[in-house]
Amino acid sequence: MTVTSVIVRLIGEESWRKCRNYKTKTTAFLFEIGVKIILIQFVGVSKVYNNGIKALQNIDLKINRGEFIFLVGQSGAGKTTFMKMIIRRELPSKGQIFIGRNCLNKMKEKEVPVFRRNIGFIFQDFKLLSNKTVFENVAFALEVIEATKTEIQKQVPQVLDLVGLKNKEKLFPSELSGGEQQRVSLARAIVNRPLILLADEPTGNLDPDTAWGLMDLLLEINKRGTTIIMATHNKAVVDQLQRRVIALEEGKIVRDEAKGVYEV
Amino acid sequence: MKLKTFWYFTKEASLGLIRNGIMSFTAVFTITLSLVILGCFYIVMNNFAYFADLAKEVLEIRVYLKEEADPITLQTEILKFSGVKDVKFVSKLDGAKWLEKNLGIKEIFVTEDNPLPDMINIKLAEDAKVKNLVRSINTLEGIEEVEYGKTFIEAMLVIVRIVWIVGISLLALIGLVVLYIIANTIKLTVIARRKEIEIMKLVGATDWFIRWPFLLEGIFLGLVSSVVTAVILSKFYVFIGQYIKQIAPFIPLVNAGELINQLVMIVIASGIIFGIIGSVFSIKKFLRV
Ligand SMILES: Nc1ncnc2c1ncn2[C@@H]1O[C@H](COP(=O)(O)OP(=O)(O)O)[C@@H](O)[C@H]1O
Ligand SMILES: [Mg+2]
Repeated sequence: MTVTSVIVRLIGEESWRKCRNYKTKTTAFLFEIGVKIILIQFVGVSKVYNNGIKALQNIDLKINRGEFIFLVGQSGAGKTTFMKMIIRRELPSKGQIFIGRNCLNKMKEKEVPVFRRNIGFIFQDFKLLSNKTVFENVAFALEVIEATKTEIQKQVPQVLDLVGLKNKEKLFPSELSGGEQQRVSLARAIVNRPLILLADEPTGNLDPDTAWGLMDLLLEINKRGTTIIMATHNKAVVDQLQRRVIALEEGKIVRDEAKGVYEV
Repeated sequence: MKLKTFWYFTKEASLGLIRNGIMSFTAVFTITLSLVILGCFYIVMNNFAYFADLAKEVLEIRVYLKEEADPITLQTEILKFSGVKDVKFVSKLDGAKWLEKNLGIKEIFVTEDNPLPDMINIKLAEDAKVKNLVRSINTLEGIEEVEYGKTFIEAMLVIVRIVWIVGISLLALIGLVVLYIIANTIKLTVIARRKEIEIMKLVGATDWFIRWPFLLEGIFLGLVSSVVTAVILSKFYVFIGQYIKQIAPFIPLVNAGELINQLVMIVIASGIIFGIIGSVFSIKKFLRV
């Protein structure tokens, strides 16, 4: 057993099992020097919706900080549900979920907003506000968490620059192409520097070229340390990038490979 | 709350009101109408109650005593009953003197064989139940007769009670109507912005941050309506007051200034409270994201 694995056991897994805090700075340092740190852990998680549908069944899973994960599976396999549980939009019917130093089952309702500020999301349908400009749409995410004007003025242009929309900040979503709209929603998702980015079929409405443009951005963001979980039906992207692939079928994990492909 | 945040809320609230301009206007109009009706009833209720009080002030129960009765004991007994504010003993001698003074009859009764009975005058308290009181007094030893402005007091009390009951039911009814109007108006803005609310929740806005603009909207609707109502009612009451003074100066009215102050406070406070409750109701469902 190596030294690093011992450390991980001490500060990672064990402390999450007990739902105890551990020092963020320490983990950031360990992450920098290449130690694997568990960021998301599902322990025997099942989700049964009120209508009796079993969306997830007995999921056991660990996701390390900095990973890029493809979530594949047919419609209705439970991909969206899986992401909703990470953002605590839904609570597990059984089992436990740990995100960073939080135990979602035990989290108090009033802790949820602050918790969610660590997680960004993008969706297939962008979910932009049509009456706000590009700049305002991105600034919105900072405004509602009561960031100062200075912070907004500094961070929004920065992130718009990153997604390549610097010169379009005064336009409204209806004046943009699908790819550009998705990049606005990506800018909004990452503007408050989340630890985790959830992307639910983000390329679903984009043509192949635009989709690759978005993938490049996601890879770049991932390189900067953000853990990304992306649900997708885009076979080309999954097969080419060779990242960890988790396949769901009727709410169960049927495959989990470090360098996977879309289908076996 | 930061100043910037406060401005944000105000801006959002006004946007909501303007976007639903016609609906906001209709809401203010309808709420004002309801509050005016409520206010009128409040004024009538108060005047009736005032009138009844005055009537009680003036009217008293007179208890005539038997020859052998002991006035001191009886006075203390009567004072013990609820609804009795004060008692005053009027001896047969006082009675004779009163007659003498008022009727100009000289020295007929102010002698040993004065035929007048001793009497106890009872002043009624505000919550007096006259019938019960008379019954209780009649059970005491040494009472010859109990006399009171029976029908008048009773009629007055019945009217006051009816006005109260109607008023309270109306209050409840109109309260519900106003709540419904406010909740519905706000609901429109909430529905128009449910997408915004969903995104706000997902990027980590607190529930209160999301709630405030809608609360302000509701408060604004309630406040504007109640201020308009207050102006209408006070003008109206002063006007009616003067009119009544001219045609029927003997009818006592509650002092306009006092009543209007009360009314304005009640109306405005209820407007604000209705605004808050109404908007809280209408956004509750949409916060579960
Ligand atoms: N809010 C909900 N209430 C009830 N059933 C739901 C809800 N959301 C999803 N489901 C059901 O759960 C299953 C998984 O859905 P979902 O997670 O959206 O799958 P995917 O994203 O892989 O298409 C489906 O059968 C779906 O109908
Ligand atoms: Mg889905």
